Amino acid sequence: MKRNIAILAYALAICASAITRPALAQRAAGAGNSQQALAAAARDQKYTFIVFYKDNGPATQATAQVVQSGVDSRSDRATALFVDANSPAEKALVDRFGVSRAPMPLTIAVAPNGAITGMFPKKVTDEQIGNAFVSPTMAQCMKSMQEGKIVFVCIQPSASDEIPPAVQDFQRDPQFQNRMSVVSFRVTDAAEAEFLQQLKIDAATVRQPTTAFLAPPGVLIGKYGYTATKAEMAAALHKAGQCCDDPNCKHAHGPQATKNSDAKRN
Amino acid sequence: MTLRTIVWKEIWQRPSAVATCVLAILLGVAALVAIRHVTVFAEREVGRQLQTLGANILVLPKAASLQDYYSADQNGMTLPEEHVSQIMLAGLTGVEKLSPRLCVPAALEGAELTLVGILPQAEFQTKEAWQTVTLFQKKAHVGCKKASCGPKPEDSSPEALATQRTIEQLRDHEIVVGADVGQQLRLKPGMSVDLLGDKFQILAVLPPTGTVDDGRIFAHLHIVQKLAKSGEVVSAIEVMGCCEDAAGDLVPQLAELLPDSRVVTISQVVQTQVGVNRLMARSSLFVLVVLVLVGGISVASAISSNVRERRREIGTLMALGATPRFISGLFLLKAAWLGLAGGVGGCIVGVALAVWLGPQWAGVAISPLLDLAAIATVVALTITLLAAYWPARQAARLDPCTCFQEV
Repeated sequence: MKRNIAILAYALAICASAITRPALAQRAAGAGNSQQALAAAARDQKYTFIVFYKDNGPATQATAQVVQSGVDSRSDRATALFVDANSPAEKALVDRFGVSRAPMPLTIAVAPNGAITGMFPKKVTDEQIGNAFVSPTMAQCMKSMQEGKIVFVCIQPSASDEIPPAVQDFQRDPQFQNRMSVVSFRVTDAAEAEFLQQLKIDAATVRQPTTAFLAPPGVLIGKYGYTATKAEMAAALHKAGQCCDDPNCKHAHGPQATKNSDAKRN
Repeated sequence: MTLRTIVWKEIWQRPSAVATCVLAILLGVAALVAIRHVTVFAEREVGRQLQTLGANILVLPKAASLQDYYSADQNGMTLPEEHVSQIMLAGLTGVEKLSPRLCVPAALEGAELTLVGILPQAEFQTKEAWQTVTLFQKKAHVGCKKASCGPKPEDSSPEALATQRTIEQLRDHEIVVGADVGQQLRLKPGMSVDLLGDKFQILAVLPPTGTVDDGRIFAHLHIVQKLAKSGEVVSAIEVMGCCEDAAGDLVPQLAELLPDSRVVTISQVVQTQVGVNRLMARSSLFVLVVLVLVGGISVASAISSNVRERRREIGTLMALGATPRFISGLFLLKAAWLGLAGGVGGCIVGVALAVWLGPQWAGVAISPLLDLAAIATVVALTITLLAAYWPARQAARLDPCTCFQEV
């Protein structure tokens, strides 16, 4: 009796696998086409949720289901891509994101500009999918930091305001000009309201251009008024290399901190 | 005939009694010196480990046993390599570097050794970008009140693997050789060797570390996995925290993130060693007490019986004009020679034992401590003189008339 039940369960499992496997395969962009699908989504200004998987197990099925339904409910701004990480044809994409040895299934949210805005190993929820959508400026910041650049976010009270002098000084400095990125947005821009909130800047108090200074891998170095100097901001960047104020901390050592900061920013 | 000549004659005339006495002192001193050497060097090793690895954490398979930090990855068990990515993706505050390792047995030119697969730090650069997704979610680390890891200069040379336990660049068919393996097989950078049926070029030979790493060869993790057909697994993941406080905070977070693994700090690893050292220190104190009692009683007994045996000779000497001071000096000088011989011999035997047995007992290389040897010799000499003082005084107080009456 027990043996029959085991055989029946095994047969059901095979049937379920046979049913679900083509479903996932159908949803996949097709071997080698994933890069094109990703580029097409970027052209359409859509986010791409890439599900990397190595097997068709229950975790993969559950993730695929959540991502597909999450994308379906946001079809105007998102698309899903299912990538078999074991497929040789997908090696370029797997290597691009460096996920060959990552825990699978792994869901990666990619903004239209190519920034990774979310990574969810093993399982993902609809809320996480929703949170992966970020403002255009934040996506630019993330993209720059993922390229190892420091980012100056200039929050402008009006359209005509120029970039603060300290940021211009950084742009002129040969040591920084290729390793930095400047992004600007209007303080009244409704699309950036959440980003402004995350930067803990009250829109009502911004009378002059204000700079938020960010560094990889995702550290807010500080917020500076129009009159802040380059030296002030450079000192803050240097200090960010240390994890605390303790002189024994290896990051507190001057040259080490600089080298470490450089390494992170390369 | 001088005092010294009389003592020498006496020593050569009674070799068995002298040998027994010297042996008692020698064994006591040897045991004391050997135990103290091992204790001192084991304590130094623990201190060094805490100094250099204080902020390090080991992620091991759940059932892995733990005796030594450096050989903790040689437990024969594995955990999935994907745990490395999981740690990176979690974006935990205070994680400085990650170093996954896979140990497999290998043979090179007939010599059995351990091949260790490691992941060069350059391969983590892509993964560093992953941490950007936790923008504004990270909490600042504000600990470091008990930081013990001093500033360390960064070094990107392959030899830095010996001190930093990570390597910046390592190509697929390059290997880095441990000091002992390099010396034993006369390997030099640039040479080609066959390992697990594949050809490798030696990138560097590491300087000696005094750890199991000296007997290892390091290659790219993914190549070792492929050659050993182990799959995508590692033996251990070393997490370098930025400071000891950060490491302490990371342990519960890592344990929660990787419930199928065992997460331990270097402090926990050395705790066992500290316990052993404490036991050794207490043992050496016990040995010192035994040395005082056994050595002292032995010397006192030998000198007393010597005094009894030589009553007539003492009487004759006194009749010939020897002063009580000369007589007591005779026995004290003999005791001093015995103490010196036993002390020096004991030091030589003790140091030799420690140098030979130290690496096996405590896993530490031992070199002679001259100040400890000198102290042990002085202690042995003092105890012998103190033990001989009473019989020598009795001999000096003998009445020559009484001695002759006994004839």
